[in-house]
Amino acid sequence: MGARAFRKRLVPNLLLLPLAAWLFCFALIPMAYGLWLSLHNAFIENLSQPTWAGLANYTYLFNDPAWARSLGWSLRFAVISVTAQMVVGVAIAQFFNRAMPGKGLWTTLLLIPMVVSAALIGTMFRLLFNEFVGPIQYLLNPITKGGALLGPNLVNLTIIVADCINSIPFVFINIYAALQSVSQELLEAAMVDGASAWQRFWHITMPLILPIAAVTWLMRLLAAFLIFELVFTLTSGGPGNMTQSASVYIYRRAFSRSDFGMANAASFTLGMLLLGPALVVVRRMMRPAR
Amino acid sequence: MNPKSRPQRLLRSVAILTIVAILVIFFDLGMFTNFLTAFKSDRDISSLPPKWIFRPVWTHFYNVFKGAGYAFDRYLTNSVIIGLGATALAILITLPAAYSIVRFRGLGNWVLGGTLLLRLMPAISLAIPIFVIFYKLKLVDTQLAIIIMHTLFLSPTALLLLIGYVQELPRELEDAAAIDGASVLQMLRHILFPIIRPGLAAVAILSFITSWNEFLFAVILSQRKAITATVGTSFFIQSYAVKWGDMAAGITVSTIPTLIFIFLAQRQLIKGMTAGAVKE
Repeated sequence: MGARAFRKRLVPNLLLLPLAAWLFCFALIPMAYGLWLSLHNAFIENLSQPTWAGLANYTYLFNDPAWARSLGWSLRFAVISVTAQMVVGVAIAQFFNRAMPGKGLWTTLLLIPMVVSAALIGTMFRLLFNEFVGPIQYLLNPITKGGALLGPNLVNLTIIVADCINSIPFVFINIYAALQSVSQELLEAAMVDGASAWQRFWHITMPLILPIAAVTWLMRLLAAFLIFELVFTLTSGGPGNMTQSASVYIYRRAFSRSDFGMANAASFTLGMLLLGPALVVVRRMMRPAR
Repeated sequence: MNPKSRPQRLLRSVAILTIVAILVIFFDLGMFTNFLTAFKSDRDISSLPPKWIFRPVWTHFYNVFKGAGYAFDRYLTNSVIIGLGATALAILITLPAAYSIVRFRGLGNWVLGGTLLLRLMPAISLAIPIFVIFYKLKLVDTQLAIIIMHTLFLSPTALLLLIGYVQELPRELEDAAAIDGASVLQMLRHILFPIIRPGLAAVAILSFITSWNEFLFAVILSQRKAITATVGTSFFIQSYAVKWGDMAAGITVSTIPTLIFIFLAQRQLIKGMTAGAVKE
């Protein structure tokens, strides 16, 4: 009996072991090691014997205007871009929530930018927005009055639009799924009572899709704040370091200057900043699994 | 509610399709223009205004694979091997965990929470120390290194999806098997696995695409030998004279698997990508 009861408790944990081991070896240990490295002067030459630096990397970081600018840029970008994505995404979902000819095909076509790698989208736009040979730059010339899409004046707007193309499909498909669960009878009853389309949306649809919209919004906000691939391939943080997002700042610290102590200090700071909001999303995501 | 006349309905359809057309152009003009560029000769690429009708050439595709030393065929092979390896490993480690989390709880909730947290935390924060560790272990520029990190990167979504599938299973089946004396492992193999197979296909497709598209770990952990197609495509920029046509051809080739899957397995792909925000 004793052995049986023991096995009964052992098996559930054994099943968890492979995943837990993976998390432990390739996420937890590296992060702890990163924290340790952040307290050292660690360059590619002395990686085997980094020298103790105490909190020097952190004090330097908090006084580095470039890091503050990167965080500020990421925050502004995330708020503006994700707000636009939510508004347009909800509008498209609401628009698609009706019968129309060829709907399956249109949906697929709208979803393409979401399934293609952000790195490829960035590389692609780098060509299409190019000042000299970019066909889209040429098409938009009348609107931009010859201004370069990737030049200092327009580059921020260009990145926002590129991120919108890449990410609105995600908002659209989430909200569209949420809309499917809104009861048609309820909407029709409201219509009979004389509620206008706006009233129906604000007072019936909106409250019902709010839980999914909120998680979608938070997930997008976190991802946009951490944006790397799209910026890295589209502008590499330039012109100058105008569009250097927090992630690009860390990447450059590590791989252009091989300053791994600093890069890890910035990494750890960034992780701490995001832990709170990330835990909120995790709790929400775990609810259906309970 | 109010009955509409035929011309009115027709007008409505036209209006709807016009809006749809504008949306499709906004979201897909880039992909489409890039596709055209891949088939333009160098002179057509730099002609102003851009040519929309031209004589297609295969030069850039030839360059990407054979000429100009890009070794794109090796990048593609790497992408396939890494994608398949990471997908198999991710399913192998998350399926038993998903079963344990649904049926037994306990420690499982902690593992689930940790895995989901991983999905939301900054990937770059993990990538920096990982590079240093793998550099010391001399694992940088190997397919194995990228497979290991992609497995980690794929597991949150795979776990979430598999939990959904396990939850749908009738418990009675397992109880009956347990009475017949089957062990948990036998149950996983002979009962759970066959029933869950369609779900596994969905997870596998999504995982493969995610690995194929992944850039950060793939770029940090590769130098020459282990470069993937997604990373290799960005190399066309770094040369002195940018080979726009070759780049467009590289992008076109790299997006083919994704495009095939979005047309053939859209439902599964979407279900995976929205897992977490949208519950069933």
